[in-house]
Amino acid sequence: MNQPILLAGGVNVFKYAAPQTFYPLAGKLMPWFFWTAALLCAAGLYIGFFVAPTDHQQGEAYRIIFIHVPAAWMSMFIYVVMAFWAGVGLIFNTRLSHMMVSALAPTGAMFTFVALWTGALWGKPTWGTWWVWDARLTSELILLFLYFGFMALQAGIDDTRRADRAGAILALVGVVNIPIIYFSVKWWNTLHQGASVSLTSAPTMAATMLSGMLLMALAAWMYSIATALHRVRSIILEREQGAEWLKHLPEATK
Amino acid sequence: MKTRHKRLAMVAAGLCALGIAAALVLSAFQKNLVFFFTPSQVAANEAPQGRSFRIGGLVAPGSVQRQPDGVTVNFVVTDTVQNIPVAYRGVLPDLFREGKGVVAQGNLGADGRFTASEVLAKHDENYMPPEAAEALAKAHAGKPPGAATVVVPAATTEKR
Amino acid sequence: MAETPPGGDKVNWNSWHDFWVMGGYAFYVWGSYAATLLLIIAEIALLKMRRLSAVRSLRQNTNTQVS
Repeated sequence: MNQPILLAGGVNVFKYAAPQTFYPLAGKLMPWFFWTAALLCAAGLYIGFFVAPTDHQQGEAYRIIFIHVPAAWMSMFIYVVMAFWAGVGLIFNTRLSHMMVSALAPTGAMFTFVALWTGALWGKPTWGTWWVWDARLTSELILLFLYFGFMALQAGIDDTRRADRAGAILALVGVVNIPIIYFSVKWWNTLHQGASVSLTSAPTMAATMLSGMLLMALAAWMYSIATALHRVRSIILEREQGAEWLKHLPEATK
Repeated sequence: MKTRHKRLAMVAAGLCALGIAAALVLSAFQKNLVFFFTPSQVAANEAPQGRSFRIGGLVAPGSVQRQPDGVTVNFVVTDTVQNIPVAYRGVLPDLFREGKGVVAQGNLGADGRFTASEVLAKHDENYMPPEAAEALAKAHAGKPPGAATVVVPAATTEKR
Repeated sequence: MAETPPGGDKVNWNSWHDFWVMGGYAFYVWGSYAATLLLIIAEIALLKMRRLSAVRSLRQNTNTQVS
């Protein structure tokens, strides 16, 4: 488990898989990600409210897009990253991967809730309803329950290794929901409109609207990395209790 | 190394099985996942009989008529192939416009008229300032206003 | 729809009042932003609390073993 694996080129990828090397690194990187997120968010909000014009159909109500879409993207992306680390944790039995999965879940749940909440507040004035049971909305709600289920499962099992393994399996099983959310508006007819931004076609948004939204999406990305790094440091401290290296940390002796 | 490969294979196999299971379940429930029926599907008797369901399509341009009682609105839902006349009493959403998407819940009468109890607007995914929308509409002169940005709901364009 | 629609170049708000009214959608727009802000503040507070309690128990452990 702890033996180093040398990949081609001699880069020791597993060096940072050890909590004692990752802990200080995460501590150093975290503030950078946090302040980048704050800056990007400020720029995104400025463009979103003062540069991007009024929408031709929705008027000012469309400005909810600057949080709704980034939050919805993050809610799905964080789950995919969680599932990835869950898979790595199951296969390689690395402690840090499982810690990363746990560290990501609350932020993912937060973004899922934000996507649903802002979606309801956006749906009421535009569609005429807070909520409908269409495929897009329902599958996103299932994602929220997957996050909650993961956190409850981890909290409910006392033995850390068993909790990790059960959580990892839930994370991997739940990953089928992600393509369902993403493609729901294509596969079935839904009240929710199709994607304005996709990899396969030109965005159907005015350039300034799009740039505001992308800046906010980047901010959400940086924020998620910052919170995950912060949380994984706490998890390392909680789980490595009694390890020798912890006693030499400045925060242990202060 | 051996156990690692074994676990990798197990996780991969598990994910594959899961994906297949999900695909099977989804295709089995395909009909129930449909949020609304298009006028063409209704014409082909694919919509449920004798109970409330949703129809979706575009509000036919020029079809919206407000009745003298002030609360009843008549309009036609179209998918450019079939049309369904709809009667609705109540408040329409802000984005209910002629030539734009709409989803209505209600019952289909024997006379082919749909009585809606709820009308929702289905807007498209295009975001632009009003000036750009006008410019686009002018560029597509000859087509009815709004047609430039109209996206016909997916199910109307593909055969099921 | 292949081309990206161009952006406008008009001033969005004539006054701060205009800005807060948000074209009549104030409740929906500000409701979204306020809820998001609250959740982010709450998450950061929870992160700090978790960190504090983790560091506290680490210190306790280290001190009891030293003495």
